[in-house]
Amino acid sequence: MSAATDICGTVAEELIAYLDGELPEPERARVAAHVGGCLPCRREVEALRRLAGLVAGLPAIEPSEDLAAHMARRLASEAGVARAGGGRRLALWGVSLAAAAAVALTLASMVSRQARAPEVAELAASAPAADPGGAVAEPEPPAVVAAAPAARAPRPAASDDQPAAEEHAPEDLPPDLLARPELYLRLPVVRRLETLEHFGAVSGRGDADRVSDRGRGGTGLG
Amino acid sequence: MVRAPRNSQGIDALKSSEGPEQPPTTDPDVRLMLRLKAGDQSAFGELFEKHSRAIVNFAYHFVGSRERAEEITQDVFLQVYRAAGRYEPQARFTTWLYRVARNACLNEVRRPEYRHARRPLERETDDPGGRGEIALPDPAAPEGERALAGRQLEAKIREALAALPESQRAALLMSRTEGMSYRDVAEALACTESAVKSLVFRATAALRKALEEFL
Repeated sequence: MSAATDICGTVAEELIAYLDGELPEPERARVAAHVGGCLPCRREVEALRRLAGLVAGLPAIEPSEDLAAHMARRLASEAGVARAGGGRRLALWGVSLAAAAAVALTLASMVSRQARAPEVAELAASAPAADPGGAVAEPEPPAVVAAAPAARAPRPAASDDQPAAEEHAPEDLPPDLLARPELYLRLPVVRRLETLEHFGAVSGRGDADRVSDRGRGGTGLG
Repeated sequence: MVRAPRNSQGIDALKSSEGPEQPPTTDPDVRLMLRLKAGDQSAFGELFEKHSRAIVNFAYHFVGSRERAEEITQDVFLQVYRAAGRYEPQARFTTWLYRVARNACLNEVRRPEYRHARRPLERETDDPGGRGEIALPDPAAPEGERALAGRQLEAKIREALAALPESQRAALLMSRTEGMSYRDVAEALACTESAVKSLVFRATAALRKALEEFL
């Protein structure tokens, strides 16, 4: 083994730190001088530089849109657990239930600023009420709570008074049923349920009860 | 996505830190922690907003799963929140934060279900937030081929990272992807700078060997 190889071997262990700018001055100057006059070491430095670039250049991911909401829910959940246990758990951590709730709502506001209102409305509902005796004053309801309903997809509810019949009306229904959607909505369901129960009884299949139950559950006719 | 906290070491990691440094009261994040300790709940939101993305990515590079990375991030910040009441500034906030994150990642990869449930550091196929492909081996190749080559290279890098011992992986990621100095890494890993130097060197040598064809 030549003297040059020995030096290269010594320097090789310093090349990473050299590239990272982590060598103190006497060593840095020694390595720099060697690399300047040693082609294999220069090539090694270049390879290590490319390698460092590859690792540093690994694509980053953007956190999910609901990360802050999940975080707030975790805090709210912990506060809820602590409240159920008399608040001892959070008290041990030096925070109050009110504080946890306040943070949850603060995070909820962050979510709101990023236009994620539906999550937040749910979140705000799940956050525990602030403890009036806690170290932190009861947090004001974040603006997002009021904004949340507007951000939800406005979907008209199908009620008995105003069934959303037009959306789902089959084309082959008789005109009189289309003119009276309440008949269209209710009668076929009853008939279908009876039919299913009938098939279940006739065939003797084990799922007759299940079908029947599902039918009753779905129609409220049970 | 609510799960029981896994990182029992986190509080202690935040509470104390080795090193003779004076309290870094000039660190803005430390000031935020002190505000949180004093009851200013908005400070937690600021810390979360400022650092959650970096922790998600650190955890993602470490454990290889977006979902797990986000759960770990929640665990980490929960630890931060819990520790606020007992917080005493003894080091830079980020080094403490990464120590908690490292511990949480270690807890994750040591879970039996992690070892058996997935190939480590497999690239998520659903990655709408990814910021593109990694450096491409052949810039002259058509775009489709370059993208494919980039994905293959990225998969190879992640595979090589996953094969590293955990301490080497943590040190390398903190140094390379987070841009932390050896000193900060040492603080985060609770070891000496020379130990970090050795960890980074060994990790780099292993990656160098695994990725020889691309260098």
